[in-house]
Amino acid sequence: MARDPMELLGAEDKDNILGGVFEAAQKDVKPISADLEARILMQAAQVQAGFAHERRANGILIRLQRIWAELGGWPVAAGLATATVAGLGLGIASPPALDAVWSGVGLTSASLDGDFPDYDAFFEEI
Amino acid sequence: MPDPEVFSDDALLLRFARGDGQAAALLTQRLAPRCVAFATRMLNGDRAEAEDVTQEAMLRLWRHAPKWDANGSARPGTWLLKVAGNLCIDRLRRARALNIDAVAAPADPAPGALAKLEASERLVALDAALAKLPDRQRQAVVLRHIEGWSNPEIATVMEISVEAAESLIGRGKRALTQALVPRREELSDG
Repeated sequence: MARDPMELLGAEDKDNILGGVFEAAQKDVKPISADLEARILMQAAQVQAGFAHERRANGILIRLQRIWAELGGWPVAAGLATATVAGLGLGIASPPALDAVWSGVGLTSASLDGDFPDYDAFFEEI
Repeated sequence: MPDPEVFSDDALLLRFARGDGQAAALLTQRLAPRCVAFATRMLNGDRAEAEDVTQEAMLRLWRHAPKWDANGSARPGTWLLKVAGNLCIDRLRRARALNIDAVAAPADPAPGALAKLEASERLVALDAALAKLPDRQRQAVVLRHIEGWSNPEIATVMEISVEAAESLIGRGKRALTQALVPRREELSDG
């Protein structure tokens, strides 16, 4: 019965066999084809263009954030919103509710009507 | 153009992220050939498939460039081979799932016969023997003995313990030796 060839070899022989083929493989690095290089570089250019776009978008965002901060940021926006709501509330409120305010300065809402120009006639002419 | 002698792979990758187009060309010249060679071995000699894997791995490297940690332990070359190795294993698994017969009886363990005519006998024999190894064993052996990585590096990249990496490499080497011993005469002449 034939013996297993592995049994016939010493550790040094085995290492020599593998060492030789591994050494050959380490040197077996060929240059890539022009086609592959072109494909890789085309994708690299596309990815880089995306980075440039992101940088521009980030730049605009940073500038807007800076302007926002210079205007006072959220505290100012909150104050402005409060004033807007308050003004809207006063505008919607019925004039009699304001009489108490006007009476304090000697006026009434009715007396104000006559002191301001009336545009009704203007719209009628048009 | 950045001086290739001056810039490391890390530095070139950072330059690429900042918009230096020449850095991409230099990195491609440096890293892609070895990646193709590695992927070709992982894919049992299929160089066309290996080129596709290399292109995909390079694309991932470009996309990863802005987040690259130049002070980290990974180098672009090792990072690339890690990605390429995973892509190869995915492709091999998909191919097996689609065509089980091809796995059961690989007709040619080292395809690309025309290209192999130019290769040395040793490489043909090695590639044929590597093709018979399980994917993970082949990956570990190639990284250790052809790419020259350390066992801890292989363990990190393959996400296994160092002992498991050593075991994979040991079993792979034994299987390779067994496959190559019958051809030792012709191999020793090379």
